[in-house]
Amino acid sequence: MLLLLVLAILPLFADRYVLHILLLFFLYVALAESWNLISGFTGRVNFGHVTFLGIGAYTSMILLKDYGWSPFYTCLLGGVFAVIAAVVVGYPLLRLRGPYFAISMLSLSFIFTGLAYNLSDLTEGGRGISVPPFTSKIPFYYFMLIGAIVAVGSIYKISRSKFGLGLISIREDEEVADSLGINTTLYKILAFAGSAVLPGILGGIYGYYMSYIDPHAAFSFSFTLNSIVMCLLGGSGTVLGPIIGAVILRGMSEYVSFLIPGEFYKLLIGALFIVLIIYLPGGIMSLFSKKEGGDAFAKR
Amino acid sequence: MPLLRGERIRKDFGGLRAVDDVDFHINKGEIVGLVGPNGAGKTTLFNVVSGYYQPTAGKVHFDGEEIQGLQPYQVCRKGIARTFQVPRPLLKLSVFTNILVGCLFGRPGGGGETDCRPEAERIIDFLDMGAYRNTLAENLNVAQRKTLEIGRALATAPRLILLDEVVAGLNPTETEGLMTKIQQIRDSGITLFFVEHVMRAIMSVSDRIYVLNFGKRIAEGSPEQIASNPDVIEAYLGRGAHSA
Amino acid sequence: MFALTVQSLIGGVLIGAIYALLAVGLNMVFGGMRVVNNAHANIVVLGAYLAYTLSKSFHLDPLISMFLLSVPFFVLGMAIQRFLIEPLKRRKAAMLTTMLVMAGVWIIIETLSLVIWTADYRFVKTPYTGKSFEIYGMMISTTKLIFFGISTVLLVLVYLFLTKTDKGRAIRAITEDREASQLMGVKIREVTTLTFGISCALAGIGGSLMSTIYSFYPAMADAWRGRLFCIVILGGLGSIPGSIISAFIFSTIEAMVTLFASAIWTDVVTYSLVILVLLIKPSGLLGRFTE
Repeated sequence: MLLLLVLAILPLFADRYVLHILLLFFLYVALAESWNLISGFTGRVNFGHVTFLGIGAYTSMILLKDYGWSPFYTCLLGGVFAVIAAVVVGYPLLRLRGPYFAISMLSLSFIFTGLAYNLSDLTEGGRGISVPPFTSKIPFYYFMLIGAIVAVGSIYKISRSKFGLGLISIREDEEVADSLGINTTLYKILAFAGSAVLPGILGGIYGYYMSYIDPHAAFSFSFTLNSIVMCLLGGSGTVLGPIIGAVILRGMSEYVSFLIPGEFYKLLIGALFIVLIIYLPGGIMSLFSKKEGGDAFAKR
Repeated sequence: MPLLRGERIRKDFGGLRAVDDVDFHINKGEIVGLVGPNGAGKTTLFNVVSGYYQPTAGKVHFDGEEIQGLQPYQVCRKGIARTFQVPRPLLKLSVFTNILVGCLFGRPGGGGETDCRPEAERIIDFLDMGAYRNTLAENLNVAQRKTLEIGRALATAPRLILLDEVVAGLNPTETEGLMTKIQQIRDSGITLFFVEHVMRAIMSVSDRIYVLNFGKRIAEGSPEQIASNPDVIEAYLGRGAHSA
Repeated sequence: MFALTVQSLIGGVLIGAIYALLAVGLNMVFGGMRVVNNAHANIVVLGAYLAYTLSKSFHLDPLISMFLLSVPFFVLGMAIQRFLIEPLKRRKAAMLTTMLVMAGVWIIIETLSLVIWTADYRFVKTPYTGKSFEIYGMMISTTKLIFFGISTVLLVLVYLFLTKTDKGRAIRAITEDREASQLMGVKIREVTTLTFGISCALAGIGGSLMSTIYSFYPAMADAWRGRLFCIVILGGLGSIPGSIISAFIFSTIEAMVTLFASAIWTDVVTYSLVILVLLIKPSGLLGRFTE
């Protein structure tokens, strides 16, 4: 709680650089927690998570460019489109499992990249959409902060709910879940759509913040990869995991890049990374959970 | 009216006819067995009844309602539960939570946590699994997993349970223990339809038995009738066996 | 126009052989061992860079380099498998975890490439670069033709290896069912190390060939990374013939779409095809697994 208070009043004191770092950090937390919903809890690993971010980004930026509507409002529309896309795409694709689902979603992100390039009347194609930068970083900070809070809060609520238990059951054994009365198709689509909401909304905010998007930036795999890494480093299927992972990843990147000149710091990151993965299977969170303690549901 | 009735059920997989025009019926309160050599189509029949497979032809009536073609979760909500031949517990969840899931989602109309928590405790008690309440399912042994399968099925408040080889792989003591529980389950008003290979188990509790071979129903009757039926003996032991 | 079409078609098919080489390498590891080798594309580009260096410093033609390079790349593959993948598999880590470890390898390779060779575009010029010959009024790139031949030979060798030799059959057995293979006496460690070694060797060879066709830079792997995975999935995990066919489909469609529309549309078409096929046949064209 204290932390939230601090974060809330931070913009009054902090300089632009700190705001920038935190703001991106919040975005990544929101993205990672959203990804967690479909991939960590439901077990459908999504390599195309960035698609929703890109849809949101383009929706808001196009509306800004063509009509002058502020993305602070239209971002909600971005969220709507992202959810629609999730439902439309999810219905056929959630039948796929494992690597097939993962790669088909990756394919989807490439398709959208291509569409963004080609429908240039709408999207300005490869030139990208450029808008005058907004004067202050502060609104973006708050939007992202709220996004992160909503993300974490929702995952928290879901992880303790009947819906969350249903998702976990689907992840553990989908056919058994079906035989126990869980409408797996519905639940999967709900989780998938749920995972699209925040990226869709925050996409527009992000685009406006950068005051420029183009197909490659908006649908870049690095967003997806970051979400995956953060969740796995911290512990997927947990609530705090993605946050911890985000802290580690962003912290490591920023800190280490100060220490080591030039590009070499990336080598260290890569190596550290590999070491972490190999020696810490369940992510950081696994250090805190007991083996025989049962699960959260049994305890109450 | 029988509780469960299969009418000329047929299931083809490409060129293979796994279940061939099988008729059967199960009355409320009965324990009915389903036997047959490996590959006879028993689990396939269960899969058709529980909604995994759509029958190529034929109907399944449950309490007067046609249920073939329903999704497994719908079949479960109607009141038919099933266990799996090789137990499939939700590995990363505890025994308690596994059973809780069955109660929350499988009851006709769904369940709420306030009702389901005590219910799960009750079932755990009934099955003498109290000591393992918080144990993660992945740490259970075979017998415990099979018991958990039954517990989960019970949690869905079924009127009929399809048991698929519940005692396979258990030693005689474990088998007897489980069969006693099964009798108690029947006495509480739940109808049972079960596939089994362990003859002693099935003969001792069944009211009636169906025999399948190559997808076709080749016999039906009381345990004594089945035991002395020449077609059944031939199916299991081969031609010429009944002369021994 | 007809000639132009056929010419593009042929060009696409010829390139397909290299795609196939790369895809088969990836499939061996992705389909065979369920390792998401995020770094495969980077290893390919590394192969290109090493071929470039060998060409610049020792005036070796990539056709020769490729034989030389196959050995260190094979060793690289074995090392990755031994030190990075094995610990993961031993504790039955999820497929996703392998992806992350390989992402670490990707970062390292890309950074090293950046540091050693800078971000400048590189290209290997050979006596046959840019040459083509004419058949029925169509121009066929000599380079592509030669490489098509080489790739085909290599693919045939790989195929024969997998089908006719014991070690090859062991690899396929592990693809089907790792545990059962173990129970039947397959030495998992040996076979998986071999598999990864071959996979990386193929990547290195493919890379050195590619160095004469495309200009490359460290981040180029990004473009290939997703593409190779999609090719593999389209063809079906664990199915070598599937990867080969899928590779040719990809390269041919790319060539055709570039001709009739524009290069950027190729992505939309090829990846839509992947999704379409998966919707109809969830295990890919020739795949047998659904997970």
